[in-house]
Amino acid sequence: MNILKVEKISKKIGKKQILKNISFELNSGDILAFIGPNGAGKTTTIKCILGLQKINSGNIFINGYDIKKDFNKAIAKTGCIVESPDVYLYLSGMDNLKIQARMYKNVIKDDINRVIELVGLEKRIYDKVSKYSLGMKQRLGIAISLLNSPSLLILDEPTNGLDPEGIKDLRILLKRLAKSGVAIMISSHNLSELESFCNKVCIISNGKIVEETSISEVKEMDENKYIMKVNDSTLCKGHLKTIDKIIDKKHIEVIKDENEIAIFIKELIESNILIYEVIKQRMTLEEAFIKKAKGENHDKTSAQRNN
Amino acid sequence: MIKLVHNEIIKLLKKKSFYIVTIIFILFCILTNVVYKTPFNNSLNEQIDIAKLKEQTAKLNLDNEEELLIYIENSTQIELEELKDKYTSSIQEYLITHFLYSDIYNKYESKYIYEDNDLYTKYEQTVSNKVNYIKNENFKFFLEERISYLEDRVSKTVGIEQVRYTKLLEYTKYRQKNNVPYDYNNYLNNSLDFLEENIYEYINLQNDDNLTEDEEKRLEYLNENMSIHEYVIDNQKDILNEQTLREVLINFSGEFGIFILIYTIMAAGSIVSEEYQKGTIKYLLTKPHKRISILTSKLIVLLMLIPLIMLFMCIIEIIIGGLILGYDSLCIPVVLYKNNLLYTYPVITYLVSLLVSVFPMYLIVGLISFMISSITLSTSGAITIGFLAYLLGNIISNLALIYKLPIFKYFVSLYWDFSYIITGKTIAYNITLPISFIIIFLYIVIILCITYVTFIKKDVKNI
Repeated sequence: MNILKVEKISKKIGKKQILKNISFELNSGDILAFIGPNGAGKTTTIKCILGLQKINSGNIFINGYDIKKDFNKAIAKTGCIVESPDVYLYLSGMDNLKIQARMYKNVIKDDINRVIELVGLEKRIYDKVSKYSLGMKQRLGIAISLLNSPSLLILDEPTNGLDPEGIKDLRILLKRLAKSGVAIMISSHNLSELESFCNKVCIISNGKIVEETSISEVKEMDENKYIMKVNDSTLCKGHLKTIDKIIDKKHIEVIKDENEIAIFIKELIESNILIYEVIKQRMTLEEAFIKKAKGENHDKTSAQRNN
Repeated sequence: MIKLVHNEIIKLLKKKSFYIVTIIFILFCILTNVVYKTPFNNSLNEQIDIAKLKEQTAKLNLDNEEELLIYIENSTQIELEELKDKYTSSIQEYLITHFLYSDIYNKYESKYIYEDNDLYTKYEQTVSNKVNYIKNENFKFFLEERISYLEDRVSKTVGIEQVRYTKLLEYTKYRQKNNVPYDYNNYLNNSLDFLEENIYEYINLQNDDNLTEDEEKRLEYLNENMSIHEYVIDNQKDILNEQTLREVLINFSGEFGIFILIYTIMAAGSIVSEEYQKGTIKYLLTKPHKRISILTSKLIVLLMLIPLIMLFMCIIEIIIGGLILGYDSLCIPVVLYKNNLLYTYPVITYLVSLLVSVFPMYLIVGLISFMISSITLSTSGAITIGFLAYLLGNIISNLALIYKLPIFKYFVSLYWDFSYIITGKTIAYNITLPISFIIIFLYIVIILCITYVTFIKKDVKNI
């Protein structure tokens, strides 16, 4: 089921075009990694989706409701953290939750207790937020965003300030939410944190979507790099191509597709070389992103050259 | 909407600044009541330095006629002062000041000018007898003496003189009938004193058809004050006592108005901008409520805040003021002189009317802060401009009293204070109620339009 549909949105501030024809979709159960360098337009896109900034053109639909026409209905089942979990520091965590809960129609006390438990803030919920660490504020922010049992959850840099344990908990929580049908959009700089549990990725650069694809597709950009452990790497020299290399006495690095590697292994065995290990090196999302970005730059340079 | 308003109230009430201002207000309240309780010496008579006077008198040459007169005057003064030092109660002091001067003067005159020993002895005896009465605080002796003197004058005078003596006799008989002592600490005595002292001038001015401008002002002053003192003796209500809770409440707007302003501007100037500054606006605007509802909830809280703060401050003042000054004065009405008539109001009615009459002023100043807060998103800017609007408004109102320039007519500050209806104070131009309401309404509409349009259209900028 389609939860979020962003259709060719553009945003101009003064003369500067901040977003150019941004389009992407998010279905129930999707976890979208919204990736881009600083100033690429990630937060502006999120703010436009949430109605915090007006768009100059395009459409945004949440649960089928146009945010321009049916804002209340569109936003009713949306939870979010934008930029940072900015709550009322002079109030306790509980008072903050109560204030946020009161703004929804059907959020009851049980919902408050449920989200407190979900983020593990039971012990400190009555403390003033001004006494919270950044990680605790982040947990409170997540609790607030889950108060209305959202079908769309938008989290802007949610791992900021969280310790490894907190990140792990968040990962588990988000996976669980996605499983229950919540569509989640996460923007983050830390790509390696997202790749393990996101199923979609959207790369934004200079206000444009550079890539919108599934994680598996990104991984297909993999170079088919294999690391092999052998008894003596120098013996392999005659079998290596120019793109392959010897790493050390016992390790070699080869780039081959599935068929080629099978034949290569057979060749080595026939040459009486002992093979102890063959490991396929998977490219990280970050490496894929750098590769993609490099590719974009390369394309741009070539285009300029051709012109 | 109710839930949104509920949230805004909680946010406001849990702010530290709210409590800090409240503590300062309570301290200020205590201090003000203590100041009211402290009696101040309103005696216009300068304290006479007897030792110095004696020294000057000793140097006088009694052979010189002029110096002899000064000698007699000084000797009378010295004797009076010595008696006052000896008999110190307020009744004794009053009687010495008002009833001994002529006898003592006559005594010295008969000795040094007439050189008549018999006469001197006679006056000495009279003084001695009167001092005895004073010693025993027997004011009735002096009262009866004055009645017989005044009856004599009434029978022997005609025209205005007779009217004056008849009036004085009336006051003195009132004193006798109501057993009002000659006592500085007795409010009825003080009012009778004022009436007795001014009746002659008052009757003269009333009967004079060719009054100068100064005389007309004086007559106006006497009209007001004679009526008020007449009211005091007719109703036997101590309405002129300034050391009372009633008096603090009458001056409530003036004494504590600044705190109503601080609370109003503090809340109005931060209610929108602080949400943007702290980033909490992002949660607020991503809830299923239209921006118009969110701003309206904030506006409702502001509208409720002003009367509630007034009420809260009144309650605090009545509790603190009552503990310091006592609650008795609350049953004494407020008496105001307007258009040659006396109007009386129960204290609480007067206080409430006065606060209602200045509500538009605080409302508009608050709305200006609210507007600036929404446009600039700067709390300090909104608070500063709120205060400036209040100060500038008052300056313009005062200027309009002096220079009746047509441009002043367009400033709302000329119309936002309705207290003149109650107190009868002078205002610039002939402002009518409908015009005041229309101008205030127009200002409110313009301010709110700007605020709403800005708030609805504003993007939440990235950090």
